Amino acid sequence: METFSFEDIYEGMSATLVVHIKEADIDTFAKLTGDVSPLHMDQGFSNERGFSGRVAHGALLNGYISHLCGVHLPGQNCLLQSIKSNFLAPVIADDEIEFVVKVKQISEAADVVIATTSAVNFHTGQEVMRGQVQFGFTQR
Amino acid sequence: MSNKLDRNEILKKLNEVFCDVFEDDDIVIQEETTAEDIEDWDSLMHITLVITVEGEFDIKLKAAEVGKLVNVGALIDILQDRATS
Repeated sequence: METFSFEDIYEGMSATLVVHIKEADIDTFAKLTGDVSPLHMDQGFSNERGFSGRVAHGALLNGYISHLCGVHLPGQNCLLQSIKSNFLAPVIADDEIEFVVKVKQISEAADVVIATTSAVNFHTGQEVMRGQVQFGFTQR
Repeated sequence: MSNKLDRNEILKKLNEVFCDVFEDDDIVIQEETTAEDIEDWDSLMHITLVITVEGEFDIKLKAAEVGKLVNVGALIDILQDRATS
């Protein structure tokens, strides 16, 4: 758990997380949120729709951006204000995804940081998600 | 040599920023516009507005400056003084 404060943050600072998206993770997310669409839950259905396996929820991927901010950059002082994500390609159960958060802009006037986000399939190199996150600090 | 931006140019660019931040293409701001005039202008949106203005005009605002702003015209005063074309 990191404890970076506002003054520690600099443009270009980044944090990375590699996650193996397992079927059990998709099951848990579906149970938590109630999103039990067969695209996520039924391999046969997803195959019929042209996907090689169960498709991970986009909001699950956003959860790993929350993980990166709340645990690593800036860590426990984080107050997440917005996540904006575009889902560029499907993430299939058993994929390994590398998530990166990189500081783009720092505002001393607003005590706020904007960082770009991206997620790339660790094996194919394909970018699956891109966006930005805005966070403040619970303690300066 | 730096060129000061024209107030109307700044207002036009600021209007685009407001439309983008508040996700409302119908917003029309004037120098007299305040937070009271835009329904969704709460504290979180204010933060987003400040950081977006900084990015779009490529300047760094100070907390004291932002705290003293009374309307859009006051923001234009700062931007006209600090931002260059």
